[in-house]
Amino acid sequence: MTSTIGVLFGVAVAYLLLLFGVAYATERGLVPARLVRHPLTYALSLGVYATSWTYSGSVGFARTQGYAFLTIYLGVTLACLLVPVLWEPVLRLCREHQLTSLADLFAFRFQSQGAGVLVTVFMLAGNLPYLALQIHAVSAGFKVLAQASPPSGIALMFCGLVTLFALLFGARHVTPRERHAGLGVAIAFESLVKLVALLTVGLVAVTSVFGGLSGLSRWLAEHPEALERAYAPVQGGPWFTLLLLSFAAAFLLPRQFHMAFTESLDGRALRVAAWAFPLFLLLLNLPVLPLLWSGTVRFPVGNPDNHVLELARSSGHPLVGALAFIGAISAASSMLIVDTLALAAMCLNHLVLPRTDLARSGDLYAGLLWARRALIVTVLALGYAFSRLLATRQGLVEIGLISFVAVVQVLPGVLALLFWRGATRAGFLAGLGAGIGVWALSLFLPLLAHGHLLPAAFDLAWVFGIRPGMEPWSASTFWSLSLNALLFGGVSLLTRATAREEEAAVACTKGATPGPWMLEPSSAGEFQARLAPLLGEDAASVELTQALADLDMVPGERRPAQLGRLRDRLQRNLSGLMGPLVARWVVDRSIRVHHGKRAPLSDRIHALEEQLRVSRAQLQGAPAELEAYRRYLRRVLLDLPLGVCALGPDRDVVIWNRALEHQSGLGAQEAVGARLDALPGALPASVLAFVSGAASQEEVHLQMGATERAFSLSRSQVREPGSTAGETAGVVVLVEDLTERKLLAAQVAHQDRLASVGRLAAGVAHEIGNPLTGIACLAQNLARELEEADLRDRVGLILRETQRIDAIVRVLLGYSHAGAPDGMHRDPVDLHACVGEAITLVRLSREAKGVPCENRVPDGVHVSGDRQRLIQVFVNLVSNACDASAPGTPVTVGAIATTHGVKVSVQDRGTGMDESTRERMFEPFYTTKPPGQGTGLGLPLAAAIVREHGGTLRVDTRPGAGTTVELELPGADAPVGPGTRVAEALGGARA
Amino acid sequence: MAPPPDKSRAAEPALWAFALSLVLLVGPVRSLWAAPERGWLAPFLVWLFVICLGAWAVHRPSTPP
Repeated sequence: MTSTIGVLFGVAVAYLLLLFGVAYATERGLVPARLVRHPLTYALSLGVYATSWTYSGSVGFARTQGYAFLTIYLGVTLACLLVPVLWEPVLRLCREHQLTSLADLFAFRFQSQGAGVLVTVFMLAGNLPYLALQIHAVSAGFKVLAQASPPSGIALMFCGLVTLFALLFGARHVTPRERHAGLGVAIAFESLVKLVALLTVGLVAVTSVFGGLSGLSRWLAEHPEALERAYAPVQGGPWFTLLLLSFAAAFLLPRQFHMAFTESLDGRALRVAAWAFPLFLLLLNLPVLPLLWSGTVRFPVGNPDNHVLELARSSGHPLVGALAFIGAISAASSMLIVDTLALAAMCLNHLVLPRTDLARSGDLYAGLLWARRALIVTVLALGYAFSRLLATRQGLVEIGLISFVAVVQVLPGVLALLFWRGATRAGFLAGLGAGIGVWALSLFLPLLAHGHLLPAAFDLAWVFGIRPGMEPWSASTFWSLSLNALLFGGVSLLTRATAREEEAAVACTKGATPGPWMLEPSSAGEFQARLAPLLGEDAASVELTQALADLDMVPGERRPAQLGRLRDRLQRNLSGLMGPLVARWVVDRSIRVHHGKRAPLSDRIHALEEQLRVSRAQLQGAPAELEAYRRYLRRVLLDLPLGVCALGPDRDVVIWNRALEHQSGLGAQEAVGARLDALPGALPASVLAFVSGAASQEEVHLQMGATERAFSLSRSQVREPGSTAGETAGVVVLVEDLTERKLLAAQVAHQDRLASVGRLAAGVAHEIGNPLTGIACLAQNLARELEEADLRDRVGLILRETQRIDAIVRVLLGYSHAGAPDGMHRDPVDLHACVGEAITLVRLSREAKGVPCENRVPDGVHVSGDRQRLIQVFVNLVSNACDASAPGTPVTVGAIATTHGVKVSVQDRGTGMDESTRERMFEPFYTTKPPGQGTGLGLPLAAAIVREHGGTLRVDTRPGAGTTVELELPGADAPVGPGTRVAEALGGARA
Repeated sequence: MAPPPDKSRAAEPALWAFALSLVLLVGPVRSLWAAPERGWLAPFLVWLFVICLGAWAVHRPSTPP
C-alpha cells in the first residue's frame, strides 16, 4: 500500500514532536529520575551507533557480504569486553579534566593546538559523508513508501527539525558538569523504536513470505546456497578488517564518544552497558537475514537497502508501514543529532575559541552557548549541502565504512595516550597525517570523484592496489593504519617530548596529582582579580566560586599547596567550557607559577605522599614494605604524647602532630602547608620566636584563653646527609606542656611549707610547756599565801592566762601529732554520746552566748575510732558554728547511716564564709576572728583527725546562708540501723 | 582517603575474555561454527556467548566498578 508524501511527512513530524516531548518531559523532571539515570537507559543511548546503515543498509550488506555484516557489531562487542581497559580510563580522563571530545583528549595529551585542529577537521571531513548518508536515507524512505520522489524541501525540513531538537536539548548547558538528561533519554527512546520497528517488520515479513519461522527453515533447507553464500565471507573476505574498524568505531566515532563519555553517568553504568549495548545490537540484527531472504523472494530485482521499507509497504498493514518509516526516521535523526553536537563541540574548542579574544566576548557563558548553537546549525548545513552535492550510486554501507576507516586512524593515538608515555606530539601528528593522507587518497577523493564533485583523475585508489569492483576497505585500512602506526612509533622514538607533554602523559597513564608549585598570587581571593581581564568579572567570579566549592576551600586560603590545587581545579573547569589548551592558556597567563622558586618542602612532601597513595596498590616487594614502614614511622610521630612541629627551610609546617593540635587548638588540616608566621594563636607565635632565636631549649608562659599555660620548647636542626654546615632541611620543635606539672609542684611546696610551720609550732609549744608549768605553780603558791583580795585577784588572772596559754600549747601539740603513726586505738564509739559530750564542753565556755546546740544524732549510731579525738573534732566544729551564729539561732548536729559508714553534719545558720575564706579555711593559723580569740587550728585539726580515721570532711558554705560541715566516718561493727535519719520534728534530742 | 582500586586486577578478566573471544571470532575456530550445517542462528549464539563472557568479566565480585 502506498502512502502519500504528505501523510509520510505528517508521520515524520508527529514522531519528531513525540521525540521533542520525551526530551522536554525529561528536562522538566516528569520522567522518574530512576529511569533517567538507569544504566539500561545509558546503554540504549549508545544504540545511536545503529543508524540508517543498520536499519536499511545491513540487509544490502548481508546480500553482498553474507555474515560479514555482523562484523560491524561483533567488533563493538569486542570493544565492550575491554571496558575496564579502554573505556573506563578514557572516562576517568574526561571526568577529571573535563574533556568533551576526542579532539580535547588529544590536545590535552599532546599539549598541542595543532593536534586538536587536525583531529577536528579530520573528524568533520570523515563524518560529512555519514551525515549526508542519513539525509539521503530519509529521502529514500519517502521514495520507497510513496513510490514517488519527494520534493527537495522535505530533506531540508527534516534537517531543520533535527537542528531545532539539537539546539533545544543538546545545547542547554555550556559546561559538561551538567548532563543533557533529555538528550540521553530521547536517544535511548529512539533506540527502542528502531529495535521494535525492525523486529516487527522482520516478523511480519517472515510470516507473510514464508508463513512463519518453520516456513523459513523449510525454505533454507530447499535453498542451501542461501546459507552457503552467507557463510562464505566468514572464512575469506574483509572479516578481520571490518572487525577492527567496528572495534575502533564503537567508542571513537564522534557520536559514540559523546554519548559514552561526555554524557555519561558513571562507571557502574558503563559496566552495565558493556553487555547491554552488544545485546541490543544482537537483537537489532536478528531479523536482518530473514528480511534479506524475504526480500529476495518477494523482490528478486531491486536494491536490497530498500527491502525493509518495501516489505513493510507490501505487508498490507498501514501501521506496519508507518512503524517501519518511523524506525527509519529514528535511525537517521538520532545519528544526525548526536554527531552534530559532537562535531560542533570540537569545532568550538579548536577552530573558534583559539581565534577569539575572550576578554572582548562580554558575557562569556552566553557567548559560548550561542557560538555552540551557531556551529550546530553550520555542521548540519554542511551535511545537508554535502548530501545535495554528492550524487552517488554507492550503498549506505560503503559510505559508512569511509567514516569508519577515518575513525580508526585515531586508534593508535588513543592506545598510546593510555599506555605509552613515550609517545610525542611530533609522532602523533606524523602518524595521523600519514593515515589521513592514505585515507583521503584511497577513499575520500574517489568518493568525491564518483560523486562528480571532483574530476575522475582524483580517484587515486589504484595507488594502493584497489581495483574497480573490489572492496577497498582492507587495502585502505591496511595501508593507512600501517603507515600511521609506523610513523607514530618511529617519530616518537626519534623526538623528545616537552615537559608539558610528559606531565600530560603521566596524568593520562597514572592519574597523577598536580605537582607542587609556588604561585604568584598569595591567596585564593587574588585569583579572581587575575582572571577577570581574560574572562570578564562575572565569569571570573563564577568560576572561582565553583572551584572553591568543588575543593571545599575558603577564599582566604593562603597555603601554597592548596592554591596549587585551586589553580588546577580552575583549569579543569575551564577546560570543560573552552577546551584544555585554551583553558591552560587562560590559567597560565593569569595565575602564574614562580618557576625560579622551589615549592615549599611541605608541598613537595604532600605531592609525594599523594603519588604514593595513588600507586600504593601497585607496589610490591621491598618498595611496598618500605612504604608500609614509612607510614608506621609517620604514625609514631603523629601519635607521640609530645607536641611535634617539623618546619621546612621556608618555615612552612611539614608535621603538626595530634598532641600539638590539642596544645594549640589548631588542627593539622589548617596548619600543615601553611607558613608558621601565618598561623593564629599564641603558641605558633611563640614557636616562631623560639626557632628564630639561638637557644636550643626554652620555657615559655602563654596566656591561652582564661588560663596561663607553661610549655617547654626544644629543637633540633634537620640536615640532609652530606650537606654543609650552613645547609638545613628544616627544624623539628618539641613542645611539652608543663602546666599540670608546675601546678602539682606548687601544691607540694605549699604542703611542705605548712608541714614546716606545723613542726615549728610543735617545737615551740613543747619548749613553752616547762616554763609555763613553773609559772602556774608559782602563781598557785602565791595565791595561797596572799591575803589582800586585790592581789589574789591579780594572781588569779595570771593563773587564767597561763591556763589559756596551756590550752593553746595543747592545740598546737595536737595539730603537730595529727597524722603521726602513733597507733591510734579504734573502738566502737557511740556517736550520740560523743556529740553530746562535745556540746557540753562547748556550752561550758559558751553559755553567755545563748546559742542553742541540738544533738540530733540518733541513739545506737556507732562509728569506729578514738573517742577522745572524735570529741575534739566535734568540739572544734560546734565551737566554730557557735562563733558564727547569732544568739538564739541553733546549731544542729545530725547523722545518718550510709553504706560506707556514717555521715555526720554540723549545721549553723550563721554568717557563712566568703570565697577567700573558703579557699584558706584549712590553712593552719588562718582565722577570721580578732587576735587572741582563735588560733586558726580548729578546722585543720578536725580535718586531720577525720583523715586519720579514714573519713572525709566537706564544708558547704555561702555568705549569709550559714555553713554545713559534713563528715563521713567509717561505721563500727556494732549494728547500725540502715537509713537512720535525724528527725526534723519538734522535740528532737537536745544536749 | 582510600587508595584507588587496583586497575590491573579489574583488567585481567576482561583481557582473558577478550582473548577467548578473539580465538572464537577471528581464529581458525571460526570454522567450527561458521558452517551452513550449523543453521542460520549459530553466529548469533556465538555472539550471545561472547556477550555473556563480557558480562561475567565486568561484574566479577573481585572487580568492583
